[in-house]
Amino acid sequence: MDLENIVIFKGGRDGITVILDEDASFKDIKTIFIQKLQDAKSFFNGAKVNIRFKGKVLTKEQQEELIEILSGQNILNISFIHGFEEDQEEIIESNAEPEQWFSREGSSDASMTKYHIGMLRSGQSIEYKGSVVVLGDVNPGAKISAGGNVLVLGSLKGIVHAGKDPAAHKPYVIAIGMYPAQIGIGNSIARSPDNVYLQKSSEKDEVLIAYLNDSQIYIEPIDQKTIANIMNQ
Amino acid sequence: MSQVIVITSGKGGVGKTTTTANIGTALSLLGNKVVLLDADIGLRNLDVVMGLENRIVYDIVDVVEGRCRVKQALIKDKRYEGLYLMPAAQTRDKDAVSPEQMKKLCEQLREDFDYIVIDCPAGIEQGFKNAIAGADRAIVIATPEISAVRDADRIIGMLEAHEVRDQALVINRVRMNMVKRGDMMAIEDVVDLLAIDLIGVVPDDELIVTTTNRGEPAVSDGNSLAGMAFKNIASRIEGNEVDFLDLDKNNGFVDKLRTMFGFGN
Repeated sequence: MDLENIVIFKGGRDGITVILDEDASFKDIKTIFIQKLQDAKSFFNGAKVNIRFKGKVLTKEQQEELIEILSGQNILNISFIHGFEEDQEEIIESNAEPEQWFSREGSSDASMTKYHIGMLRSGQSIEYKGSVVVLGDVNPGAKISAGGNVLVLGSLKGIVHAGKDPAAHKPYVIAIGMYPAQIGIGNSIARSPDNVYLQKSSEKDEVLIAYLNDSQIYIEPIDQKTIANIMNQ
Repeated sequence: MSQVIVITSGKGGVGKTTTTANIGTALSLLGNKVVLLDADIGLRNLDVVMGLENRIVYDIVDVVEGRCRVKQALIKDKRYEGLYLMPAAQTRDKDAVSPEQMKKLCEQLREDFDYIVIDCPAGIEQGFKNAIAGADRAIVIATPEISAVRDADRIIGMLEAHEVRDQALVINRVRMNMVKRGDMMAIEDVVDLLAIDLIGVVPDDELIVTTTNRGEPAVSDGNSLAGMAFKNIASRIEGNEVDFLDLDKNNGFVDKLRTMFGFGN
């Protein structure tokens, strides 16, 4: 086997993926890993990157050893090391970006948005530092947690928390059909009224906005007046 | 082209095994060569429901571990032409088989059968992952209860994650009179939430209990409304357009009398 290829550095949109050969021994992987890191010196040139690992499943000690090598060098300026990938990851996106999405001046314009196309089913979750848009229903048992706003173009029946980033400016949740089991905005949490479990689909769904006023969560039909009121509070 | 269909639900006790037995039998009655594969290792009962328990010599674990050939573990159901059962092992647990072994077994069975119908265990652990490993399509069973629907939703998400994208829904044990009173979830509400194709609605039918205890699938009983519903599902699996049963009618003798005397709803 070509030893060179047991460790591959692959650049991607959200950082560098290090692919480890499934059949190689950890000793070889470690040697090549250090060697490649040296080779990459001129290429990376102090760039700030995220790193994630793929391929061969390592033991806890082996993972720590590699991460130690990474943090002990000065070639790459690591901004974040993702955990080793699990077999079947159910969290659709858990993006632990280190940067502040929200500028401290208090403008929400700077936020990044994560789009999820399709339904979010029971047991699935989205966690994002910026805002989240879901094109589909969010079913009971699903969970969204966002630093900024949450928009659901569908029926919202799961658990939602918006405005987790204290710098987010007037965070809100919008859904076509607002039936969240629990809704949180900023530091406030509200839950749905009891005994509404036999929801009739025949009820006409309305587009509602949930927002925070004086630590209280309000839910109202969305129209220009409401939006103006919320933003001018 | 043969098809591997896994019958799954997440929640236990919603009728996976009964559905497997009935759909499999109905498919064989339509002239197909069918094998029922019990993937519920350690808690096998598809053989009991089919009334074939006393014929088991070898089981799925014996096949996978090479103690016998595939054909030796297949039990032929003498009542129905072309229907076979591969039983689960009772003395082992779910770890006795791996998803790769399951895939290989499905491929082997494909050569001789039109349909391979897999009875999946409840839960989302190893047993579930094994059962769906070789499947082309999944039939998700839910009863109209929130807990069952919630678990079905979870299962659909997991099936998608495991690349089983051809999914159909069977709503089992529907009691029309309760739905009308608003005490049971309506079919539309279940379909609305789960958002996958509906392939069958099976009414709650006391005959199922008796036929199951006798080891005869309900589809063999001409009077069973549930049996009829299962036959229709089999026909839809074959690609035919079949109207859904009108569950409002024929709910029982009393209902028939009521309609006769003008006390209909």
